[in-house]
Amino acid sequence: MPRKVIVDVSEEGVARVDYIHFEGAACLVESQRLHALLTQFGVRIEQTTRTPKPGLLVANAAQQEHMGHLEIQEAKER
Amino acid sequence: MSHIEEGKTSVVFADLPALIQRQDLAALAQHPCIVLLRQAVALMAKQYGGEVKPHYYDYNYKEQSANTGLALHIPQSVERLRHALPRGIGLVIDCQTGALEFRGDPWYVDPHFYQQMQKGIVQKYTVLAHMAALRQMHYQVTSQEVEGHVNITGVTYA
Repeated sequence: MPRKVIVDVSEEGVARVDYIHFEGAACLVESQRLHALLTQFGVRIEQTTRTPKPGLLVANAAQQEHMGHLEIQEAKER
Repeated sequence: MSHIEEGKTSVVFADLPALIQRQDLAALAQHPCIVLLRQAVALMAKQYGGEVKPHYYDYNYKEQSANTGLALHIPQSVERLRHALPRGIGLVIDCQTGALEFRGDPWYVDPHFYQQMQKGIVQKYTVLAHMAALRQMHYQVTSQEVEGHVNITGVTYA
């Protein structure tokens, strides 16, 4: 499935960006790239709310679990 | 998979005050932000039967230059006496902050219409900036306007 970014810009200047068909946390990386380019164009986005979709929640949980394992492993090694 | 994010946008041009203060008009005119801003104002002018000029007028119709070289003018007509910008509205960048500001005399202009023109320019600029950014990220980009909202779709097969 192709990856999609759908942006809705209202008359009040509110931008809603929907990242579709990204695997795991790849959408967060794409969001950072987009924000960086928008900043170059002088567009700043304030008070951003971020609503994760189920896949991102799973990816974040897996990442946190992985980080937890690493911390325990490091503690054991010490 | 993925997520949705939402935020209020504002337009602040960090690079432009230096060019304006140096009066480097050639570099200013070619700056990507000014190029997009010119497109945004031109779209508004086309939508409302107006034109883009490098200056606006004060109450006495004395020319005032806009430091972006951009001002939106919409002529009065019988149908739109108060929904017009006969003196124009200048797009000016604050040389201290880089913020985009609008200058002009709104005498006899419907206040709601005057606000709507400013919001329209900012909305169109925001849309053009998103489209340019997505193209730089190698997305195929399309857009459509629906009831005051502009929807942009970027697709990548990479």
